[in-house]
Amino acid sequence: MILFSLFLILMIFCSLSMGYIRIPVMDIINILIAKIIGNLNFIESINETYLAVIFDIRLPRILTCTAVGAALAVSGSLFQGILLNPLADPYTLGVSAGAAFGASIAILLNLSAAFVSVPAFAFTGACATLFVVMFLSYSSKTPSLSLSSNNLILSGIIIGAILSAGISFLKFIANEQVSVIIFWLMGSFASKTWPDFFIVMIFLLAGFCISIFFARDLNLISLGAKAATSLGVDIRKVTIILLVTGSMLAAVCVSVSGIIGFVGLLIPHMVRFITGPDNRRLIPISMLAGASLLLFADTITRAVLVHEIPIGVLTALTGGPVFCWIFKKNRLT
Amino acid sequence: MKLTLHNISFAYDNDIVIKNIDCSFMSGNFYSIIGPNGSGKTTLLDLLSGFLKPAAGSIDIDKTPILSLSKKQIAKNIALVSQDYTINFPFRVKDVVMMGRHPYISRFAHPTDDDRKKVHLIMEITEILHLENRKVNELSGGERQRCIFARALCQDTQVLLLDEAFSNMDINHTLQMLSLVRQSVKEKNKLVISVFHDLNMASGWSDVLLMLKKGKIKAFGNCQEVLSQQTIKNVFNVESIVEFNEHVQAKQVYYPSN
Repeated sequence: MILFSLFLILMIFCSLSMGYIRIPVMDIINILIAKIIGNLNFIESINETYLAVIFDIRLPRILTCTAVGAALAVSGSLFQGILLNPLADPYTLGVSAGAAFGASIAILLNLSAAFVSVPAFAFTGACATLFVVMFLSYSSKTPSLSLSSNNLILSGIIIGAILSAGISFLKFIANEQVSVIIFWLMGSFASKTWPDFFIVMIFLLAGFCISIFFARDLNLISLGAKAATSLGVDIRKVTIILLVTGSMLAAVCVSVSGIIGFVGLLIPHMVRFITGPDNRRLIPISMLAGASLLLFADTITRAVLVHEIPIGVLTALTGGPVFCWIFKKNRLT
Repeated sequence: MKLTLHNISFAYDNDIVIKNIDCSFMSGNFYSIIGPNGSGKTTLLDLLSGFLKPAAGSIDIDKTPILSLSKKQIAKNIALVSQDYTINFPFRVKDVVMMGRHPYISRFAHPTDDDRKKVHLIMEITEILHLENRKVNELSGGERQRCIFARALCQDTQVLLLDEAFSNMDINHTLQMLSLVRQSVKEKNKLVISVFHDLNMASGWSDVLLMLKKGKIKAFGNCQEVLSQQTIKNVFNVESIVEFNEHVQAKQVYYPSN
């Protein structure tokens, strides 16, 4: 875990120095120390543009990206745990489709002039979807049997399908705004600001604490509802709390940066090979690994490639084949 | 300790599975529940373990209604080995057995030495110690069942509910687990309620027999009194011969092939 944290910090520094303007790592360290201490003596010798690039452009983008990667990975581990399925991800319950639908409406109605409203609409859409899915899979007659993974997955797929059709329809009537919708959906960390980072970070911290609080109960849930109940887990309460936590994390990520696939699926899946299935280790390590992976991907599109590719496309294009490989390898053994 | 059912009914949607059951189970006895498929045996155990809520009636542990207890308090009193023993993630055997200590370990605490000793001892007597580092989803059905059985024993409860807990074990392990259970009933005054399909096993090992059919009690009493050609015909609709067998020291059932 310490190893992963160090690796992540190292990556943040590398990423900060890379880009259109190359900035030496020593200058970065000086700038950061100066900002933290509040003593500007350190940076007298440093170029003014460096300061602006680091502090106003790269740092918010990099930190937002790190937080989103971490949040998606935590969310993915939670969903895999609750849905008892190592192939579940934060979007299995249609949260992404809900967010995309909300965002599309906001863009279509041209609400994007007021800066906040596209993310706000996306977030509302995601939450609404979650509650519809939970309502569909809940039955009051046999409370301990409802919210079972099959019910949830099925409801998620149905709602997701309806919303996808809705998005297609919105694109169809959107005319010239269609490209805005498409770009938004593909996800990007370009021009992220400090408020974006703080919002994701607040959700991430809260979500992480809740996940760790219930990590042992989540372990027991994998024994099946009946066994978990007989061992003293209030399965309905834990399921609802963790579903809401996981979905909120996914919703805030989608709202801030669009739909970024495969991080939430791949990271917990791969980390499980290293840590084993114990969620008390799986969740923190996944968080760090998710942050590193997404930062790596974002740095590649930002600093290495000639043109910036939407990050959602990049993660799916690289994550997909990796996932196929892991999947196939596991089938063979 | 005494488990009492007051006029319990339960239905899945509109199918009534348990109808007005009134009975009580006392510590120091080994009860068997037998009955045809779909007669409500598993549902009855689920109600006793607090997993399902009865549509009508109440279940008391001594004088306390079971639904007024928290899940954790129930878990300290009642352990269940369910029919379904699939485990979805590759936990190690010792981790699964340690999960039996869950109700006793507070949220952020680590297992104490006592917990570890207990887990070790129980893995030893259930003969799964050599499997302790294996992944549970790679075990055979019988081995996994023993692992789940060990987990329930680690829960250290007064009441143990077994839902066909021996269905995949070989005869050697079945007999070992059964004698373990009977010993704990006689020496530690525990209460064991087990669902069986094998009438001879039920008669040979348990004290009291409960026969269920279509959610109703057809017979409830001492094995040797209840088991007869007539009750078996009533409950299972099969012809049989029931005789006392001196090797088993209990009544045994034979089914004529014609």
